[in-house]
Amino acid sequence: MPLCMTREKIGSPEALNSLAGRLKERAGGRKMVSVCLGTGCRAEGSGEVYEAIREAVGELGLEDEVIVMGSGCHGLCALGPLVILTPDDIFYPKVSPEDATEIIEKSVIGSQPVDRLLYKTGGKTCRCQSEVPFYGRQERIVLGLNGIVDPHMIEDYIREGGYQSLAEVLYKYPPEDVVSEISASGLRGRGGGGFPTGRKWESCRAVETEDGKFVICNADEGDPGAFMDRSIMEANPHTVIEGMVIGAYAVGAEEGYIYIRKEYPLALNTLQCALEQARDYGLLGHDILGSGRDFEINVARGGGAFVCGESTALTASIEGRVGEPGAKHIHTTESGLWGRPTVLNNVETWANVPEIIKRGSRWFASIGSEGSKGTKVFSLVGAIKNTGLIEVPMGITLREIIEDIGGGMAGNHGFKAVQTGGPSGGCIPADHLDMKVDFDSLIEVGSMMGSGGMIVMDESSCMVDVARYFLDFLRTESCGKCTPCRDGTEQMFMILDRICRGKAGEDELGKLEEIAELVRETSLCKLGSSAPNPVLSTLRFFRDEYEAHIRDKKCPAGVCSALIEFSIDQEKCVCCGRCANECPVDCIAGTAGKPPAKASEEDHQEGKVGEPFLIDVQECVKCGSCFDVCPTDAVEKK
Amino acid sequence: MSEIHFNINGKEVTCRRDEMLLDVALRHGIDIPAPCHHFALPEDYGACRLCLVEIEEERWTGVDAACTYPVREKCIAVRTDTEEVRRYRQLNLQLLLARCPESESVRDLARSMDVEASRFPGIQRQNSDCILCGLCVNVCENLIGAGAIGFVGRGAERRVAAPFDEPASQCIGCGACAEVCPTNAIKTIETEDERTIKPFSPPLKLVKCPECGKGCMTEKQLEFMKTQLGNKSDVLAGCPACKVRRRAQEFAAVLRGKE
Ligand SMILES: Cc1cc2nc3c(=O)[nH]c(=O)nc-3n(C[C@H](O)[C@H](O)[C@H](O)COP(=O)(O)O)c2cc1C
Ligand code: SF4
Ligand code: SF4
Repeated sequence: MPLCMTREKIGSPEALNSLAGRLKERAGGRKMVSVCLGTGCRAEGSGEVYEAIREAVGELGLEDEVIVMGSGCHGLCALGPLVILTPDDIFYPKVSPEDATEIIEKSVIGSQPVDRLLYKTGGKTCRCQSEVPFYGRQERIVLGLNGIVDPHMIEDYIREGGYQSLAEVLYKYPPEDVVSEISASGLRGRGGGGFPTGRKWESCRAVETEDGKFVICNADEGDPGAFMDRSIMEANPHTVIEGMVIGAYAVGAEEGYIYIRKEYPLALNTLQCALEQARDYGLLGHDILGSGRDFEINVARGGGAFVCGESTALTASIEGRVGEPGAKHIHTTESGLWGRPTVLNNVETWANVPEIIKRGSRWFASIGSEGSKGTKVFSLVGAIKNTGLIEVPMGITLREIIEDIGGGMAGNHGFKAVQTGGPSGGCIPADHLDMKVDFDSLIEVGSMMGSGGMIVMDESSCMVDVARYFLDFLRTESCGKCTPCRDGTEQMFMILDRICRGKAGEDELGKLEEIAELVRETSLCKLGSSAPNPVLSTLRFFRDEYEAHIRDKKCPAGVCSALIEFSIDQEKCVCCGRCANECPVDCIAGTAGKPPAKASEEDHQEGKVGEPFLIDVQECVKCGSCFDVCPTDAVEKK
Repeated sequence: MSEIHFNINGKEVTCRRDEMLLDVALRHGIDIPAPCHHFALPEDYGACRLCLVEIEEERWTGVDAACTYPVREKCIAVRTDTEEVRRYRQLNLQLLLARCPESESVRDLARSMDVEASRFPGIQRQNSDCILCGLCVNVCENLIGAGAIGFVGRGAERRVAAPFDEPASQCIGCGACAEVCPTNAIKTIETEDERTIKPFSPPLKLVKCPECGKGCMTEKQLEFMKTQLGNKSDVLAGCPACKVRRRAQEFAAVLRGKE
């Protein structure tokens, strides 16, 4: 946005209001093209689309009428690059740079959709985002401004009503009322534990100290494959900052930290830019909005380990010590960073705060289920059609997420399980698909909310192999400090590995359960105490699969290579020889030609008849190449 | 500081608020295995998980490590010998035994806890008797102040080493780590002229006692202590044995003078 304004300190709520008014006026009447520059779309080439659209606008001399904006994640990553046009409300998936001119000429100038570019599903053509089923079931509080604000322009956020909650709090509410409002909303921590945020704030607020308090934003997001927090920071960093300033006021902190994962350079950059702009406007730093209150936010870079997201390891890491958990009997709210009272909340938790203040705790508490209020952001991945970033009301069922939003299974395999809660979460089978997704229900089935990972698995997944995969992650991410977690997860992994290789004895399942209980009950921190979850939950729902591996030396899903054998159905083989061509160890023999069953007398005379192919199982390395290429599914995996 | 009253195995005990449960129990003569606890260190690390006990609080009852549990008002009762506590301790010990099958100290501890052999296959990675209790790192960093060694690696790969796995350049050769190590995994090896802290330090030159001529401390240790003691550093002259002898002679002289 060519917005030539110097950023001056805003000295009062009225000044903030009038700035928002001017910004609205300026934007009014202008058309906007919002190109998703989130990680998923970027990988599909949205950067080029963005450039092409800017170029097209330039060539047509429309710079003053049309705003081209690179925005944060819109969510439907599976269909990227995504482009949204406002105010005409047109939604284009899978846009390529060549489409740029047509979009500008026909849709932006002419306000008409380009039919061939619209999203089509189930015989229906969707013109706008809300018609797309993926978005239909969602409720966007935290992600609401994704695609509407440019994360690098604080003015966009202010225009949309940003920092109004802060102004209201500073001038109208005493700190204890802010805390009660958050308590009444029922907001619970989105970082995994689901601890009531209001209660946490209250216990920190109640501590009397001369030495200062801290608020911290946990942006370590260590779950492999998770990108919820990152997307929030990259798309709308000010909602996190505003939440933190409100929290700091409520508990009486003058200094804060954002602890951000080392591997997030883009989010870090966006955040730093946002902090700078907030300081310029006096929304952060000294004498915020003329209220006489001070609050500063520092950025700390993560230690690069999964365990650094754990609260005591995180504070140790900020203090410059080794990022290692310590015993936690005294709450962080009493003695946290440098021994001072500290509130630690997750990115998404902070991001909910401004909206709760703006729309009231009643409104927030009206969304969600009994014990879990509001929405939750999930990264929905795996064997479904629409993968991406979603925000849904708590209490929605797994089935609604998978079928309505996810669009159902992607391949031709049926549903098997959904894994929630990150690496130390659990696997939930098909007969629980109608359960509610909220903190307490997930724990009841042996899984957890975690930070919001959701992996859908189909029948081609082996649950023992899945448990083995997560234990492999956890045993290497265990900090190694305490015996049960360090050596217990290692022993569990070794047993799982033996099971997958068909080398486990009958007594090992019992042993596995015994160590799992030990690790859960006696580890020092939550990494250890939750590490057995993947094993315990798969044992609970898929015990027969473990038993098949151990007793029958079979992997029913055909995943564990030591337990499967490839063979060729001689009746089905059409003697094409493709399998033999693909086999890396040349262990498939046969003669290419006409299949004997279809050969005529003539073919025989001319020597055109082939001989069905056979696999030498002794030599086979079980890579599955033959299985993949066979045109008639003659290769069998058992 | 307020006093807390609670009971351990049915016996009434009293302690300061926030005193660690293990300290309280040991003070009252209750036996709890705790290889990673050392009286000389102000803070316990909580690593070995053998000092597990059952704790009954107002709103929670469960098993936790006694060494890092600060006693507060909510603590009602502690039981150190339930079936569950014994089973968990034994299992953790079996895990340590799988790590250090050769260690005499671990085997002794196992015998004292009715554990014959580990039911788990060995996960020996470093071929060492170290149980990763952290005492050596703690003493070097926090009591001596040298900070020569630390933990490296994660998970089962974890071990104690000097930075970059090189001979510890910060090591002053005081031997405190070897002194506190519960499994003798660290050894102080001394020749006439040199001392080596195995496996961390390079051979370090010894300073000879001006009186008896024996090596009494390493040169680096002397340097290190001088910078810490400043103008009081003349107390360092001589080896401990000679110093004691000299004191005794001085004392005897004084006594004789009085006669
Ligand atoms: C091993 C481990 C890793 C964690 N990683 C994260 C993380 O990446 N991000 C996060 O917000 N919380 C993480 N947590 C949870 C935090 O310890 C803490 O509970 C949370 O940040 C509190 O904020 P909330 O109440 O807003 O959820 C982790 C916990 C454990 C035990
Ligand atoms: S439970 Fe695991 S991660 Fe936590 S302190 Fe123990 S070894 Fe480290
Ligand atoms: S070397 Fe000894 S003192 Fe150091 S961690 Fe290992 S067992 Fe503990």
